[in-house]
Amino acid sequence: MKYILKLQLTLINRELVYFGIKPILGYLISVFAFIFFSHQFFQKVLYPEYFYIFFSLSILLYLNEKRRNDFLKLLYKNNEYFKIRVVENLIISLPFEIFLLYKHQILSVFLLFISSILLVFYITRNKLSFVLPTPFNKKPFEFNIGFRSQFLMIIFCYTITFISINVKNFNLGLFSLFLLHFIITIFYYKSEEKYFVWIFNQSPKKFLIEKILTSIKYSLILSSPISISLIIFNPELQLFLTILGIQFLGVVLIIISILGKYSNFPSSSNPVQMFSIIFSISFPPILILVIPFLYMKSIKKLKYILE
Amino acid sequence: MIEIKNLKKSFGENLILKGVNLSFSEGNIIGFVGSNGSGKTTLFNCISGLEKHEGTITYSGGKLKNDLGFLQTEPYILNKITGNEYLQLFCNSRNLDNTDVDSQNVFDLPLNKFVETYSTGMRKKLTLTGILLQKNKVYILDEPFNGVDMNGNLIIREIIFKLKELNRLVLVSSHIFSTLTDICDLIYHVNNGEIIKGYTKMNFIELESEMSSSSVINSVSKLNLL
Repeated sequence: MKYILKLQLTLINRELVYFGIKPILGYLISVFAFIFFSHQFFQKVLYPEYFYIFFSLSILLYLNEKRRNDFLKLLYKNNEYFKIRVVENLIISLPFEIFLLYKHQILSVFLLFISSILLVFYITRNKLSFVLPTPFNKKPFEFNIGFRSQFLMIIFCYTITFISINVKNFNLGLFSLFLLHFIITIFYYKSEEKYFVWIFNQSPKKFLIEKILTSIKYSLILSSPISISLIIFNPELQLFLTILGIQFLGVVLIIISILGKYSNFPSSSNPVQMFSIIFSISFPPILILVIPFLYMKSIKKLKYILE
Repeated sequence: MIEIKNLKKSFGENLILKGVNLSFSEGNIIGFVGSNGSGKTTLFNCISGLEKHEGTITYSGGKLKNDLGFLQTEPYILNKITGNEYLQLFCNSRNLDNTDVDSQNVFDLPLNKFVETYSTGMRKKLTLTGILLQKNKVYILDEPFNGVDMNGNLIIREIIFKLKELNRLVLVSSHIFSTLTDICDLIYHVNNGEIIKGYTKMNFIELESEMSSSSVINSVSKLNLL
């Protein structure tokens, strides 16, 4: 048991090194980020403890994937396998339990502790047989995959829009539009396998421009139900201009996400992309420098594969 | 058609390809045999341009990668994408926007299902269909028969013969020696990053005996099985 846990720690360390930071620094940043976001969460959300438990359990679900568990079952005896899984779940839920304890949520700590042990018996299957149709079949693949992976979040955005119209709180509707654009940028976060760039017989410039144009077209399709319904139910010039502004910001975010991805291609972890997005949101004028910089870097990286 | 001169590739200190010199002309089926780790896949990756290398690879038709279809040993599959969308991606990559993918589903694959639910053989068949839809002039098939059912293997054989008929160049590797000798015009023996020798149809028996003469019995005895 010790060996497999040690091995997993080694894998996390390697991932951090690959990401470009020293493991010790990575752990320190994670601890501070965890404390900061937990504080924010408890300050801004109603009934935070329940959402907090739900959030930590959803992280644990990643360990319940069938193939991973089949592998462990093949490797270890039954009781050893359960021991490993329980220890894994307890280690991951521990920081959440400590924070809940700090917030004097004793019942929630107990609930999370019991749930994380019980979750060991639940195995998720990632081979879905149901294919969710998408309007993005002509130009695969980011929007097809992203739409299916983030389907619930997209429905969530549409629901918020619906509620915002019902209660006549259009700021909430604008938030849902921004949230949807942010979700779309996630579609482009992960780098594809080198092979799926290699198969294109395009110059790096044409490849990038086509990717960007497709993403703009499809993001407008995905966001149009929100923007159109907001405009119909509140046909004011100010709201219209704000929607235009958010759509523009959304397009810029996608462009940065695409350029950021290819600027470090084919590396799968991309700090450049993440930091570019964060900086651009917090200080938009920097875009004048960020976009050309990422574009040139992407062209250079793609040249090696496409030319 | 393709000329390879002094091709070298190393990963760190480890020299994988030690100065390969080869030339291929169109309308041929060229086989590559060799043990695991002999350098066949690295050679294919270098020819395709997926790996940087030393030495030169020249192609008479211009930019090789634009005419090349590459079936990798273990095709990488995207999650949450259907077979249909996967093939569409291959067509888009060559600006073939109006290809009727369904009518060319030669392996009768369930194209409306997620590719991640496909077996190893089905994934191979799907990727092979993808590169065939691209209408390439050169094909690299790295172990195309591995994991594919008998019927699928027969179809792949027929496809390779058809490609030869269409004057395409096919580079193929396989560990199933009999299949290679059936389809190839020429087979190269790769060992330890070097091309040991090229064998024409007339000398395939010589190649087989040379390969089987490697000390199989001695290797098994290393296991100390009781």
